[in-house]
Amino acid sequence: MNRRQMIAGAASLLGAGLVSRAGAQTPTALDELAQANLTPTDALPYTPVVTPNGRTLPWRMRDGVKEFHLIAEQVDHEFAPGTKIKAWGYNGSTPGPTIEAVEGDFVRIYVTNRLQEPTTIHWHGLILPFGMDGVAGLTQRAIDPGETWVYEFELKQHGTHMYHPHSDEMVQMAMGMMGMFIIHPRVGSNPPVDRDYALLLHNWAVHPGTYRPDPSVMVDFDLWTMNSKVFPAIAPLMARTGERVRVRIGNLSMWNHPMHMHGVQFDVTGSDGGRWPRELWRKEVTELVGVGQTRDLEFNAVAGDWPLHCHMAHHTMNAMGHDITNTIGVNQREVARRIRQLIPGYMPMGEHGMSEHQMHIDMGHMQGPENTLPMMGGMGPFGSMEMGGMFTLIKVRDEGDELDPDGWFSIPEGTQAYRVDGPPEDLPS
Amino acid sequence: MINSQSRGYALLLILFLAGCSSLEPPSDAALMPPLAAIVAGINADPEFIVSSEQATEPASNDGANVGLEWPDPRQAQRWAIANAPRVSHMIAELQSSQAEIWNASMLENPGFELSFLEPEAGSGRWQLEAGLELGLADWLTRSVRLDRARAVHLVNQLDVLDDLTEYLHQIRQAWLNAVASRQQMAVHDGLYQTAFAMLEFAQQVQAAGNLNELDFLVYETEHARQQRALQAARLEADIAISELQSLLGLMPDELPVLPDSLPKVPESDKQSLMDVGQAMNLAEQFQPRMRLLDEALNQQLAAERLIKRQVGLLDGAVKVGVERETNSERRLALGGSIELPLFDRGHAHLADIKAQRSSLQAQIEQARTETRHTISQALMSKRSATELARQVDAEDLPRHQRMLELALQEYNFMLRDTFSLLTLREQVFDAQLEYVAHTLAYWKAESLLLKLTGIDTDDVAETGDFQ
Ligand SMILES: [Cu+2]
Repeated sequence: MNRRQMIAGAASLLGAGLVSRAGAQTPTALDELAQANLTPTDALPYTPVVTPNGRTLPWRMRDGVKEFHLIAEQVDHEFAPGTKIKAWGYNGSTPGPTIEAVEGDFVRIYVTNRLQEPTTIHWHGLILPFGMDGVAGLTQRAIDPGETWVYEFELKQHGTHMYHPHSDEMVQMAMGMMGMFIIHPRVGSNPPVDRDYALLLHNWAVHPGTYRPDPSVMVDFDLWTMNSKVFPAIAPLMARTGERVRVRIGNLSMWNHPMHMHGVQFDVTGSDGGRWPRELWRKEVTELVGVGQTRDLEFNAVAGDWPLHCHMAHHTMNAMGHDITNTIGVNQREVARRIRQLIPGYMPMGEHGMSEHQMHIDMGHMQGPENTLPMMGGMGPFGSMEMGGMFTLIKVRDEGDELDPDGWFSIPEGTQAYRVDGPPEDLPS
Repeated sequence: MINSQSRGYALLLILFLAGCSSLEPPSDAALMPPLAAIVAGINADPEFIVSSEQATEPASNDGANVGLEWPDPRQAQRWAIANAPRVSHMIAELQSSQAEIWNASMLENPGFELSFLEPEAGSGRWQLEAGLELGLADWLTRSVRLDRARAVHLVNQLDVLDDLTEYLHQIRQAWLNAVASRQQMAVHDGLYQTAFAMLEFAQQVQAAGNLNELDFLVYETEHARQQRALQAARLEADIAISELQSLLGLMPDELPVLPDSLPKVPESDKQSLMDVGQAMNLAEQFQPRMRLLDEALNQQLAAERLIKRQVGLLDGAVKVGVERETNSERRLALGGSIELPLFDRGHAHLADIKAQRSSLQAQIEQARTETRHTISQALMSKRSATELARQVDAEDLPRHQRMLELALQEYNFMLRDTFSLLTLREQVFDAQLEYVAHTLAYWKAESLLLKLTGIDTDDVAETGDFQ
């Protein structure tokens, strides 16, 4: 019996109405699970969150308390093959592992600082005692390098939350310190979700040819990431046709991101305020996730390889110059010859758009700076997708078809755009 | 009475006097080594002595056709020695000096006197008197006079050598300026081409509607600026060539073939390692100016000796005469005269010489100090220019080239635009201009050292035949 069958079984057993998945097991049983050194699995009373390109933080139960350990430290991070940096994160990654717990849990989070400067962790959006809020200088003194501090509080809510430093915050966040904090409701509400994904949005100033984020940048960022990865290195979100899928999106970047999904009208069902009552849900295709906000988008999966991306076009690009001459429409045929005499290897580009440029790069005609990804790319089954940054795919397959993250949707005959010799003559335009 | 015996004495005397008047210049008139080699080199192969008239003959003004290929300054210097009017002038001066020493070796010509006296009362033969008079001082001061003439000749040669050294130095400098200005002009041409490419690109961008007039004018201005700079560089190159031609006595259409660039600054340069003391040693041995002053002092000493000898000698003359009386009787007459050093004992001359000697001693001191300072400055300039040229060549230029390479990579990834690439290209040219300036400074300092140590002329002479 797989998890979905179990959930379906539970749902049918209880009939229509609220499903208490958390209630299916007592805290004692959870305790035993944790003591057995188990990390969240199918046997949990909730659909565990999947953090694409990331992981969920393991925990253990001690005397009825869920114990976690976060380690703030420098990490080696790769945005996509071709760009590596020295970032800061938690437990070896940026974003840090996703913390997952259940409303009503009592959590104890050990925080060890392995940075060279003090830090704290602020539990963004959690309702907790003032002294646990993790604001350096205000609720505590900052955690010095080498120290371990403990935050412990009861989870009095559910929803999609985040954690990040509140000590030299501007720098530490620019360096990649952040994570998701998901709290499942003790008593779930219908419809249950079959797949639950967490995406944390961020922006990075990693200038071409450099290896460390530049915290001084305020506006002109180079890389736009989901879980600190750029397309095409962002793992696709997988689902089966008809499954209820939730995508939880948090934003700890310095821009607002209108997140747009193809193929469905999703319901905006929640935020850091938890899963909203049904009557507050909205049908949307684009939902603005503001800085410091979270949003839950739910939909019933439809077969296909559907894009999910920020709709700020520059946020689906990798590093590019934002103060360069506009060469659209510029005829360089003559002058390029002259320039090549001065600068061998010079290639004119941009007269008819930037696709041509992308083609040269894809064909290896043009070498770029070290540690720098091309502005756009990503090969699909029909050519280059010419995307980068905050762009990924939701790959939905019918039952029986292989769920392969690397595979492409096979388009049923008669359902794909096709080429004709020309438009009908009497077609108005 | 004059008999056949006395006739014989007279003949011998005449022969002796004739002997004193040698027809060949004395060996004292020989030239000092570099000059001798140069004069010999020119005479050795007169074919090489092409007058500028001959050189202009070909209609083409291609230097190769008139044999004016000067890949280094030495060729230009050698050509000048064989052909330049200024060298002919110097050689004529030398010949004049040689003639002078020849002159000094000769004795004052004896005086011959013949007189007739009408016989008394118209009877008998006319009375006839013949006499020879010979000054004594010439005989007695000949060796001192020769000493002095030799000293004068040495001074004259050194004077010519000094002129020649200065002239060769000017040729070297002019050659360096001509080549450097050509090299700089080529770099300015590159800068201009870059600005032109920028302007052309800007025109296309503007034509596409993507560049406003204000931004466009920036590139137009840069283009105009580089155009003016190129024009100025061209003028400078033309003037530098003209100066070289003028020095060498060439007509404007006789264009020498020069290399496109100055020789690289040598990696290890013994002269740069030389200290001021070593250079001063060379200068004291070889620098014509310092030697000239030393010899001028010697000359004054010789002059002083001569005057003392002359005064001490009581200048006089001997006379030999034959007289035929009216009665045809012949008689021999002998006589002498002496100058009495009552009024002029040479003391005014001596005072003059003494004053000149002090003046020369002061000049020698001054020349030595100046030479030392100038050598020290030239060595400093050379060392500095060596380091700077090396830095620009080995570090800056490759760095600028690397920057351009990296910028092209950024351009490839749409991180940078064409204008910024061309701006970086300009910087490569700017570094090249700087490199030429340092290289020129090096070779000019080198040229100055060659002049100050006096070894340039020796080196030129060593190369033998000139063309
Ligand atoms: Cu965005």
